[in-house]
Amino acid sequence: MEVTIPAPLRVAIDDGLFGEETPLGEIDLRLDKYFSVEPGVTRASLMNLAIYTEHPESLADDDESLNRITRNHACRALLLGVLPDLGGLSVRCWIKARCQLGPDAKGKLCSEQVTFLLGGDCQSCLTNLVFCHLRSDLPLVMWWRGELSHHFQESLYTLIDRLILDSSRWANPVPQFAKIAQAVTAPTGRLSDRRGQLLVHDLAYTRGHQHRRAVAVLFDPPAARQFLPEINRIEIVHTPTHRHTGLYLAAWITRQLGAELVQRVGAAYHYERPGGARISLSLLEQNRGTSAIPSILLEGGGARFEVIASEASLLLEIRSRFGVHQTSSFLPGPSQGDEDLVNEILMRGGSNLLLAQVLPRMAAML
Amino acid sequence: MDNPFREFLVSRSSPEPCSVVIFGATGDLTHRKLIPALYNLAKEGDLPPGSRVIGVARREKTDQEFREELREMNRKVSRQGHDETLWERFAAGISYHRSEFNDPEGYRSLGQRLTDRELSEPGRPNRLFYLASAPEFFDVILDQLRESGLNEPGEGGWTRAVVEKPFGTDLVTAERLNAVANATFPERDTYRIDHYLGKETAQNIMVIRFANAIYEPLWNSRYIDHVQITCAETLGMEGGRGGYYDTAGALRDMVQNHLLQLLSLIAMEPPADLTADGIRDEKVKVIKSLRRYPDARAVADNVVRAQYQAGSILGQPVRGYLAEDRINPRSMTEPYVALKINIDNWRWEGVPFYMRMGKRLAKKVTEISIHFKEPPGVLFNRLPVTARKNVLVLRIQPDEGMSLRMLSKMPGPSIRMEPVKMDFQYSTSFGKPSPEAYERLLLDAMAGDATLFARRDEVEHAWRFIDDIEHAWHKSNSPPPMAYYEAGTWGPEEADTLLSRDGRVWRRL
Repeated sequence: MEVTIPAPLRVAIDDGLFGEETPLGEIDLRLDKYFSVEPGVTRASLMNLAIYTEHPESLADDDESLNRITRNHACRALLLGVLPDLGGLSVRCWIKARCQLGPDAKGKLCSEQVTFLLGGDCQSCLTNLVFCHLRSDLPLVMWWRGELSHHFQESLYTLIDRLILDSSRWANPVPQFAKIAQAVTAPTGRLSDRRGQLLVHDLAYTRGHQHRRAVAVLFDPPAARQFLPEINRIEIVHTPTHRHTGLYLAAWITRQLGAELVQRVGAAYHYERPGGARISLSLLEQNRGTSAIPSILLEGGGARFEVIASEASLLLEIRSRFGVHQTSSFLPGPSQGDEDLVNEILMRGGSNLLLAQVLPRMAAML
Repeated sequence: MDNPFREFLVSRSSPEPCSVVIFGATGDLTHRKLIPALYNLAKEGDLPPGSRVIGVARREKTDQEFREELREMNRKVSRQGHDETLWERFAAGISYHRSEFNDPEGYRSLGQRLTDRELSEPGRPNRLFYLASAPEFFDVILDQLRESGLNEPGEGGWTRAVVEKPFGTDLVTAERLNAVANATFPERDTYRIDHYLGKETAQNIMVIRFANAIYEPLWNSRYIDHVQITCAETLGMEGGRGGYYDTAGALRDMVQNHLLQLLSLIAMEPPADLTADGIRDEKVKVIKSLRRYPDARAVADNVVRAQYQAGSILGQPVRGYLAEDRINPRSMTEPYVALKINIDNWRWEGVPFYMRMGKRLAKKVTEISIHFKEPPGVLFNRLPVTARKNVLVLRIQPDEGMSLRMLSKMPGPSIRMEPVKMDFQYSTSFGKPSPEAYERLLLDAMAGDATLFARRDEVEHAWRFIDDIEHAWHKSNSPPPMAYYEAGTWGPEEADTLLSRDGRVWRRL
């Protein structure tokens, strides 16, 4: 049955944005054929990277996201657009290669992309589509756009090695975080080579990475660290859409200071350290600049430590004032677009231990 | 008290803000490598804020003139391009200090300058002295650092010295330099740089060997037939380098340091841990186990030295070594050397390591190839086939990466086998380009991680091995002869014979 396609997406398809439309059973055959006849082409792949969305009208944007990611990370890309509300069941798919000049302009280096448009509400169809189009032995990274729907189910997530999502886009985050907690503690799937837990990356957390580095740099001088026990006020300013990034930073800073949440009044949170010292933390929403987090302030004992994003967010200024010292210097600013954040995550890899520890504290602040 | 905000943030030791004092600040190394490396670290946000650079050299120059020269070069060579705004910020921390290397007053005023700066800022008084001058000044600079007290760390801070190659010209000079260095800085604060160890593939050797289950069981004399290490260059003596090179030669310039370091990474036993000394303990055991050549006859049998004669490189005619700029026309220095090395330990009994390094060879390539033994001569192996041995190749430069050659059946009704190659390249596999070796090494020195730097005993044992050959060449009554090869080829015939008499051939590169 033909999928009913939203108008903007139809234009993208008609323009050939997703490549050559292909019968489902011939995807690998046609990809193999393409790479066998193209001279000087290297078919490269370090991972399976799937983007999942239930808003196929944004598939053209997702396609552009893959364009930017595959420049840095050769992969088999799966673009999965699902229209769950559509009656009946249908699948269309397209294939294309994403090529760029190889090092020293010798030959072409290509990733391959398979785009699926799935109509109807069929959980097992989605799982099967993912299962049967993975490059074997390579890890599966899934970037889940939007809310975690009922398609986010055990048979699927036990297959994933690294899950990327963005909690700042969720309308109702509490049940969503509960799903994540369930997925993280689920036993590894039969067909996954993964050892240990599902690795989760929340872009809302990654957006604060450079800010975390900046806070760490502020306290590198031993003289500054003398003031850590004195810190009694923290203020984090976030833009309206990035409250979660502010919450993550708050959860992280207080965790590293060894403080526990004892009371919340609106946007003000009160923490207590093991010795009984109190810290008040406020999250302020302001619509200024392009950075998710325009500023962070830690103060106490006459000392003041600040991280301030420049207007264009290209740099972070770090300022400290304690004792007779007053310093200021700059660090690179945070990545701007979601694709840059995903690139950063794929580049860094690792087990993301810190998020795993900060996440429950952040969820408690929601 | 540790910085709690550093927990989990990075998976390596954190570099600390410091003053990087570069001796030889007007030289090529500073302009082409060190400053661009520091700039790129700043661009990545890896250079600790508050770090400063003070260039020390003999020429008269203002801070502004020094920065301008560095800016011009950074524009040309910086790995990640040149951003003027970032450069301005970075260059604000660069200054120039004029001094003769043997002038105590120059060190006194340098110390004053460092102290003034440290008192005005909150960081620890950390100082990294980088000896990038001509090697004949190393001991003078180290002596003066000691005499002036600049080697002594200030309260809560550290002082470290990074020493460029060559670290001595033989065992005697290396021991003397080590004595001066260790009289000035403790061994743990002495960083002898070997930039080959900063390259990704060199670091990857241990990962390949000890993080994969499939290689280590085969990594011994039972399965490995021999190992080849090649460092080939197309360059000759351009740019005035002949003056230095003619006093050194390929053996001392490359084999004593870079190639023996690579050999030790290939041949070492698994270390007990990944600490700097844990790894260097194992490397030094390999160097100590190299079978020495007892006399000139043994050297003649196992080492080939050669000079290139006129030929052509990439279609351009080039001169022979003896006709090169700043080369003594009667020089007996070798721009090419090939060696057969045996390691007398349990793992490598009977496995020769063939090593060659040369100028004006056919192409620029540095690689290590592990040649596995042939499978038993039954079943498929009764059939005639070329290239039957499996070969694992680790490419150091260019195209850092690795490949594995194996036999595969050709399609068709008959059993015909041909070698096929599985290939991995860093540049096409990982999005992030590899950092320059100097970036990694500077960061390690700031973080106090000496893993990728040579330790005193490694250097001295390497010289012991090299000295036997140098003595045979230059001090024995019957020195082994010099061989010759045409520029643009793969070296002298005698080097081919070194392998062919063992039934082996150099890998075709």
